Amino acid sequence: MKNFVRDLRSEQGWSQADLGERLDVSRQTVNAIETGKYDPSLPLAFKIARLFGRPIEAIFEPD
Amino acid sequence: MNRPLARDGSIEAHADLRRRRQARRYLGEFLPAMLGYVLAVPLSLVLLQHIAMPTALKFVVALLPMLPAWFGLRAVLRHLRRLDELEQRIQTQAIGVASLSVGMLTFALGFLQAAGLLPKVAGLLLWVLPAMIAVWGVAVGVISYRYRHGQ
Repeated sequence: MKNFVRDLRSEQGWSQADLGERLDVSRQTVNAIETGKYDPSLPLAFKIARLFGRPIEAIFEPD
Repeated sequence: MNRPLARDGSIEAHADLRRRRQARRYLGEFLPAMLGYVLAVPLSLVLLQHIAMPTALKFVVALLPMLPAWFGLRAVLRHLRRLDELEQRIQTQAIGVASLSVGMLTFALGFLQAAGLLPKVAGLLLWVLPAMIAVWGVAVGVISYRYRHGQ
């Protein structure tokens, strides 16, 4: 699924490891989400949305 | 988020700390179990070979290594529960690949054995679990690689 996690992360000046720590997931998981190789679960998607202060639909777009 | 930062104050160093803490907890539980297993196997063999005992007790002594093995399995399961969702998915897929491939292999060996084409090897069944663990390890590497670079 296309997403804007990388852009939002860069806006904050966070590394993938920083974002992983804030979401309580590994850096590998952050990378897999950003590159579209892994779609997060609903709870994790909500965590991401709350962290960036955006609705889920503004961050994740179905292909 | 109120998380204590690592000594150098960076979130990134704290992420490494988290990994190291996970590994320490896992090894702290797993290594003693493996030590117990390594000791239990020869102990069980020595007792069975040199001490006369009723058959029921022989079963118990023969299965002695299963006690530390159970603690080792418990350590692995507790570690898996601490992983994040993608890491758990990778582990689950790898375990699936390992069970099916080793299952198919033992199925084939069973046919060969039934046809009298396999040499009689004592303790052959003992290799099933180590084979599954080996394939599991390789599968984790391959699946992780695909999430990082593939498709």
